[in-house]
Amino acid sequence: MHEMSVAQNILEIVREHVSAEEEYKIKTIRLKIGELAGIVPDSLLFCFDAVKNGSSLHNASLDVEYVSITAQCKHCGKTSPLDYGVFFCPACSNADITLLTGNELNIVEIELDD
Amino acid sequence: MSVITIERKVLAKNDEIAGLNRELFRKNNIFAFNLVSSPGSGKTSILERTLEYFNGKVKVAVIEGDVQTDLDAQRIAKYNVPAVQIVTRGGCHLDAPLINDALKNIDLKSIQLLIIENVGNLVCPANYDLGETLKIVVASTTEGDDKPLKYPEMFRNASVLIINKIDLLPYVNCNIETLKHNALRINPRLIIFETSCATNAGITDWCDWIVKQIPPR
Repeated sequence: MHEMSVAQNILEIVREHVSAEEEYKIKTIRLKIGELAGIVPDSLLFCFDAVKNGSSLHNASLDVEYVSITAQCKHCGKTSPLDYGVFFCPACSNADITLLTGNELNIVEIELDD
Repeated sequence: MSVITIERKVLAKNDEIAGLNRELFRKNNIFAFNLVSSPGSGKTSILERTLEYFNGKVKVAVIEGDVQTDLDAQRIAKYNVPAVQIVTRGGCHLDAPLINDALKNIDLKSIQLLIIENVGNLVCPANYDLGETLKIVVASTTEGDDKPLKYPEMFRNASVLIINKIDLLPYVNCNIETLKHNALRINPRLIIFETSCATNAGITDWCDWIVKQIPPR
């Protein structure tokens, strides 16, 4: 539901990393979005298109790498993938786990046309 | 083609201001909690019972978040505590900058407890750190016993679960043991309170627990 403000945040952060003339050259913004980040990728793409329109970043598009959930069990030590909404170790059923991936909502890099 | 590495969290700005808020709470010895739930589970009623119980003995301020209207702040104002209303006008959650602005209207030196009532929504508020000491999630018996399974992130990120409207248990399709089991399956560290704002059941236990969380001056 908050993909619009996330799209605006992405534009702001990208602008902090390039000069005004480079903004027009940005082709791709690479993101990592975890399954637990509460972001619907399609909705984010839609919102990003809306906020970039008419701006200096209108040539940019998002390239999203979706990150699945993994956790390490504090009991048996195993690292395993988790299904969404299941927060216990699939190997030993212990719920005392540390999430390793799945919370990401990161801008990784941007690609510019020369 | 050239590549610029950024490696930044999209919510970094929010998290940075959340850090400032947290530092303000620490410096002023304030216990601040972020009260979250779906709409209508009784957040404001729990607040009212809590303020009645404290009856001025604990110095409280309240930040009310709503999509529209200041109806909740009006309810809280009756208890003679400072209340700041944030109207998000469609926004589905409170964020750290909104809280930082609201804090400018509260005399932090004069309070021990800050209660932030978030927008009724079990999805988005889970992802926004406000700088609070901890998140407290309310689930009412009228919502059934499967909410923790449907909204796992919120129950995972909360430290406390209040099961509200327990007076209605005989009339609704909710098994409280199943609800607790589901919640603890998602988050085994949850502290659980059972309350009714109609009968005041559980309010004493809940309020006594709050008092223990307030840092000494």
